[in-house]
Amino acid sequence: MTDFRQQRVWWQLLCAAGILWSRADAFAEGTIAGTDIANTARIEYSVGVNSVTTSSNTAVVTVAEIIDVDVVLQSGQVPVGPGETNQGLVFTITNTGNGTETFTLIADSTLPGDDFDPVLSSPNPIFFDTDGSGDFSAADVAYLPGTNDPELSPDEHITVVVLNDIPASGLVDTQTGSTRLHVEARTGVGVAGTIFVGAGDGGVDAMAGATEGDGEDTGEYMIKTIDLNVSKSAGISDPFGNALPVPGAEITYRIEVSVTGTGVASGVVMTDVIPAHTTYVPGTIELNGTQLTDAPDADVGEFNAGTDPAVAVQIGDISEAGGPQVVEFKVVIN
Amino acid sequence: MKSIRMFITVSVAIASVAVGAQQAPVSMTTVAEKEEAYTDGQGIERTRLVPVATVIPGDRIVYTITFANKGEEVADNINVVDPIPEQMRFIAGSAFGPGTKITFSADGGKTFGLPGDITVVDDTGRVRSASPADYTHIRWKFLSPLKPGTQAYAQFKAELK
Repeated sequence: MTDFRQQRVWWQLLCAAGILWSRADAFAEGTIAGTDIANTARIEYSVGVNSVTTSSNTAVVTVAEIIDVDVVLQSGQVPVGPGETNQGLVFTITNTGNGTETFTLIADSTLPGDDFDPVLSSPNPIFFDTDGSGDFSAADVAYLPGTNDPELSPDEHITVVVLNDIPASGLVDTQTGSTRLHVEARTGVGVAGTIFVGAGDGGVDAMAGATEGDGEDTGEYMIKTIDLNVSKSAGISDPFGNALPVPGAEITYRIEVSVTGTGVASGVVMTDVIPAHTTYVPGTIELNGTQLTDAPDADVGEFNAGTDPAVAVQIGDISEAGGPQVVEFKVVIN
Repeated sequence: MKSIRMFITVSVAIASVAVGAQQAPVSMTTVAEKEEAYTDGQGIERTRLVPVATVIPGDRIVYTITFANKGEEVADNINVVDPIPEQMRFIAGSAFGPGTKITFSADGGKTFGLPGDITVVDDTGRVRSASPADYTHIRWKFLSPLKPGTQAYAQFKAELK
């Protein structure tokens, strides 16, 4: 026990070896800032026949505050059309430090590297997802910088929506525009290890962590334009084996509906009025070669008699990739 | 006569107080320090221990418990027990003490054993071998007596959760 110095050297070697793996663990959070870590050792021994128990002093270290924040885009690429307003990008902001922090939120839509600049919605481009819907809705409260900057306890997160309007002109299909949400700890930002003396919870020192006290993520809008094309053709077969438009001749109408562009035309309904001086031939509606009934029932086709008799087919969603949708029906010339 | 008798009684009382003081001759201090890398005069990188007042999660603290026999009699059967602060995780293999047998507890200091011998009950009720992170207390049992005028120490290292 007297060879204290030699043992000490050996201990230092152990310590040096330990440093090689000492920072393997990453702490997303950790012991809360301001916590006092106390340690008191106890010793028991005997002097002659007497047993003695004594305690040491209490060594106290205090946990400093680490400032860290994580911003993560939750939205996928948001499809938009020219002129659309209040298009939302959803982000989560998580306090990954070990103290309570207040954060400032800054949105920027004038980023380099994209095809167009979305326009941050006015007057308030950032909203808290107050109702927890995961998207922008009427109940959401606007973020007002300096007024309701969010205060997050360690590990707490909030969801926010950044709103942009899409320019009405000058855009073509598949162009992209980006928006970035930048979040800063109000206590301060700086390279990891920067100390803010006494600025942490309860007056402990605060230190910028691995995220340097700020965080950001970028979301993207993509222009999805779509053009709907309809072409109609007619074939005639008369009772005499020819193709003359005479009374009694049957006309087969063929309506081809297609789209070009990257979007999806949703809920497409094709309606065609039966021409004057002709009569619809019952049971002749077809969609892509499949016969449909005339009744307004489970299938998507129907014939509406009345003053303006018409054929209607609910084609539904059409994309360019899905190819043209073909409706056919027959009429007879009166 | 009466007054002399009283005097003797008082003397005896003083003597017994003095004996009582001699029964606690070992003083002990605990110090919390942090490792700090530095380069010595010869340009060699070394590690030294520096006092620490504040820590952040992930920091490692070296606790050194030093005790000295300041009495005139030998202190024998010495056991030093130190609880690992609950916010800290013991670093495997870091407990150290010259001339000691070191055992660990994972049940709040009720029982002690060598690494590999101690167990804990996990969340599902199964008994498993305790890992260093489960340790709650460390005990250093000194194999030889501590002579008057000498000192010894025990050390361990823990990481702030």
